[in-house]
Amino acid sequence: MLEIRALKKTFELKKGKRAPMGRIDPREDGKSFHTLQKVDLSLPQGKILDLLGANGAGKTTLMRILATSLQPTSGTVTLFGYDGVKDADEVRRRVGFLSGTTGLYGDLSAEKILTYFARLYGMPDNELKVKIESLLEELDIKEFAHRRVDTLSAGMKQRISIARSLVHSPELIIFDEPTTGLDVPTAQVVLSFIEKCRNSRKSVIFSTHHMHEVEKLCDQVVLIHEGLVRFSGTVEQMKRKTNCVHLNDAYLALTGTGGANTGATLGQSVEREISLANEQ
Amino acid sequence: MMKTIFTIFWKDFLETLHDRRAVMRMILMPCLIVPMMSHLFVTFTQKNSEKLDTTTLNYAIIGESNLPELAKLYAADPGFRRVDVVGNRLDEAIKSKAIRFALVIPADAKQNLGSGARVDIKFMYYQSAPSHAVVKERGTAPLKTYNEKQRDWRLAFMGVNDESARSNLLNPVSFDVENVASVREQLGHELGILLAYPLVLICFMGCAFSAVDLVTGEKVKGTLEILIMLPISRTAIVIAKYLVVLVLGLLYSTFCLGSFMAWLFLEGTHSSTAFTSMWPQISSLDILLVWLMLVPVNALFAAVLLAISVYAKSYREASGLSGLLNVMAILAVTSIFKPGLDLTWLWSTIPVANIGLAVRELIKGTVSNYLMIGYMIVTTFLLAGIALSLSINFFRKESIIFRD
Repeated sequence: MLEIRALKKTFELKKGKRAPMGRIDPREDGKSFHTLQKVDLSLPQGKILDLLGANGAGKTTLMRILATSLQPTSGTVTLFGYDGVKDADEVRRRVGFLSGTTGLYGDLSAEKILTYFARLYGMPDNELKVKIESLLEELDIKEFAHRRVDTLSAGMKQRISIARSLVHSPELIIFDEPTTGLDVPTAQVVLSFIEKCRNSRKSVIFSTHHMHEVEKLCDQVVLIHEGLVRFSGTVEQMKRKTNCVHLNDAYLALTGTGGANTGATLGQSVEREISLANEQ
Repeated sequence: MMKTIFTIFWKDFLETLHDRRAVMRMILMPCLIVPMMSHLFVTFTQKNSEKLDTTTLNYAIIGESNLPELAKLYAADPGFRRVDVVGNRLDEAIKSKAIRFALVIPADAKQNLGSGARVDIKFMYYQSAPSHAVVKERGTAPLKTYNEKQRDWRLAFMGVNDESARSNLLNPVSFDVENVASVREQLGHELGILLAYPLVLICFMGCAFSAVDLVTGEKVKGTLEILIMLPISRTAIVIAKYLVVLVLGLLYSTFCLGSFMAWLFLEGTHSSTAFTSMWPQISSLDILLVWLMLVPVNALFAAVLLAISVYAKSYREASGLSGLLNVMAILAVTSIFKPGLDLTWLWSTIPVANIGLAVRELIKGTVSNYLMIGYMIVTTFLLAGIALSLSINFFRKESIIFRD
């Protein structure tokens, strides 16, 4: 369903944005910033993949390339047999995207927003009415479907955003940190929805910093660090590889960002602390 | 593609109109403020001129004893009030409006007058505006009377008593001055400026009012990224947004033109200002042609402002760039104030200025070459097309859309 080969993305840096002395990030070479250095990835239909990585690791850039709003500098992205650059419109018809930075039209109601996007996807009027009705029902939006979006809470808005990304019934859904900033019940709605996608054989790629969400939902984890894939596999494989019990520790071990408390070292230090406490 | 353009256009158009304050501004501004400002401008100018006609003018005379008869003439005029000013402070007193004018009579005045020589009297006043000419006119009236009296006395002394002989002697060549410009042409110049200047700027405001929000606003809100992820052409998105800006700009300036014409109609039927006689002379074809001029200027502003909106990454940057464009538009349209500047082929190629000049000439009714009007419409549309293709080009570049 999804094949990414040797994907690279480089942004030209303007003078004012270049690091003045030395390199803050190894991906910066003075004039350019190599956000994604070489990414290879594949995902079968109906699976849920989580992109793990620190802020600025390149997750959002990768997701934007998959959703075709950005173009790769080199490498290939094939989705459903279509090339992500040459057949961008075909890919767009099959992909739904939601990120923390995508907004909504504050002066419109949920129903109007969904109708607007459904029309732009070319859905006929009778079909879009049925689809919108079912989305309003499924995401518990009906109650506030006619209210102006500006008057709604963050959770309500996020539900509308999800509905917006699903209005054209995409086969692949890309969620960039969909639960960030949400209250617990709304986050639960989002997570349940991702789970439902698996049951309906839809593929989901999402990023999150909440490890419990990864453990609960994901079939596959891809860890990106400084624009490179550091790990790709299941949650269990990730833990085994790093010899860690917790996913947090595995993450820190793989990225090397946890200092002394990384991977197996963390486990050992915890055991030592427990034995010291027992001795006392 | 047409369906996509219409969907985006209609949604953006309604969303813009959803802002009630903005709509009120769009309707009230041209419908109330433009005629009100025009009315105030005309009545203020007229009142200012009338005031100088009737107000008591303070004056000073230096050397009164040199020609007491002349001084008596001034003292007898109830429209003047004498004020004592020291001779070397006359300039200062006139500039500070303590006095409006002053006479300086030379010491040898009486002697020269008696000997048949000429007397040179200095009349001092301050004129920085055309309306101040009234002071000169009123202030020199007793001088003229005195001059005529002395002239008549000298002629009588020379034995020329007959009125006709006296006239032939003084004016061996007579001439009649006739201004062949019609009332419309004379008043139309001022009225054309009064209309063209705000109209061009209103076109700018009408377009700016929505342009910044339609693309920069969507960037800031984060909705633009969703749009570019849709299976629709980016050209269609830009054209739809361009149409919204253009239609709103046209609506705004049409309201402005309509209200201005309504004001002119009221001036023509219910008032007695200088422009009263103008209304019956302006035909509906003239109004239609003036409106036609608004289409290319709106098309140009809409395209340039949209290019700015696509390029800018924040409201602040968009406001700064559109402010710069506003200054350029003001500079271009002020060319209509330049005395003696007519609509020529050269001027008809200069964007914005050409439209301002054309509106002025249409109101004056002095457009002789309609080919020139057609030429400026075509060139302005061409420029708008270039600016629109620049917007489309910007919109396709991820380095511009994701400038952050």
